Amino acid sequence: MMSKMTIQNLPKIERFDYSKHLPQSSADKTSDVFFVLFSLYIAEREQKELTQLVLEKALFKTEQELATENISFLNTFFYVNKLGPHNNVFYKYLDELEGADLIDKEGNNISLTAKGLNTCVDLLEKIPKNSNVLNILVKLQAKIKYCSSNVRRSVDETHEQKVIDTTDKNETKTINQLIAEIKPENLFERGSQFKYINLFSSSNPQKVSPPPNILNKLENILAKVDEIDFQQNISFENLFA
Amino acid sequence: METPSKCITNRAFIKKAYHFFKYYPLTHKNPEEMLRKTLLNIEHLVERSVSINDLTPISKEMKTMLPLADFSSLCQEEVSDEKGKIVEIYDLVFLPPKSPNS
Repeated sequence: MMSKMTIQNLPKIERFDYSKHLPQSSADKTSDVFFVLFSLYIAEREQKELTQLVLEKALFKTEQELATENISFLNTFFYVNKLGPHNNVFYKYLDELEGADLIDKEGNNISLTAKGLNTCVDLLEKIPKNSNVLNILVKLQAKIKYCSSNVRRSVDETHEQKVIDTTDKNETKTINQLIAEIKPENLFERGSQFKYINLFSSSNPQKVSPPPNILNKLENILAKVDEIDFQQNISFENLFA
Repeated sequence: METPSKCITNRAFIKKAYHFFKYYPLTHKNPEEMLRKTLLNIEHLVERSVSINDLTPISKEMKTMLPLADFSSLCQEEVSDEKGKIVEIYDLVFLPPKSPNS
């Protein structure tokens, strides 16, 4: 795949733009959380151990493969850090899932809870059979199997990835070179200074997202909304009393 | 239709809105404060409304302030005036009818 890639369609390194590299709505964010949750479901089904590193590698590689078809399923872009393509926001999604008792984190290992498993089964039943979301999950499944079978190989592959650095005279570099350019004293630099990876040669890839009813159900689960909450009204003045 | 005099919201909306401010990637340092300001803004808009026409932009304003996946799930009822104009009233601005004594 890589050898066929021309310079024109190499991923591009861009300066952080919050209106582009992060979800623009709660629905976009919940869609990303959905795919993170289902990555864990796939790992459970495949009896694969999933770490935060493997999760990010599988998500990145799936998005990269889909980019060749001008399809995108993530609204959170990756930036370059010492472990390759990464975004702390994915860890935040894991915190959110953990807060809703859908996953357990033990060190770097992450797994579904019984509630998380039931939630996935329930949501999966509601996805239309001909949905593009199912196609994405199939591709994600292949990448999770691939990345979890040899983590070192996955890291090496993403480190060797060539990119065009539009923040530095459009030079062609490897992720490895970009990692070497990270100044140790700037480890905690602000997100706006990170170099983000744009995998798409087109400015408007076809977005694939679960249907609104599924996103809404997941939003309710994440926010721990119960049926009775829809009936219980509160006056504004008592909200923060 | 009488104009509303008071805003009441439900726990479902508050939970979702609070979650939105707490976990959305563009993090708010103080989600409670953000939620309070948003709700006060909505309340202000509702209190200023003098006709049903004023409720339409409020619905739009809510969707902009809190871009949830599916607002229809929070839709409680639709109201229409004597001219048949329909405005969606969502749970977050449940507008209790004015008491005859108020």
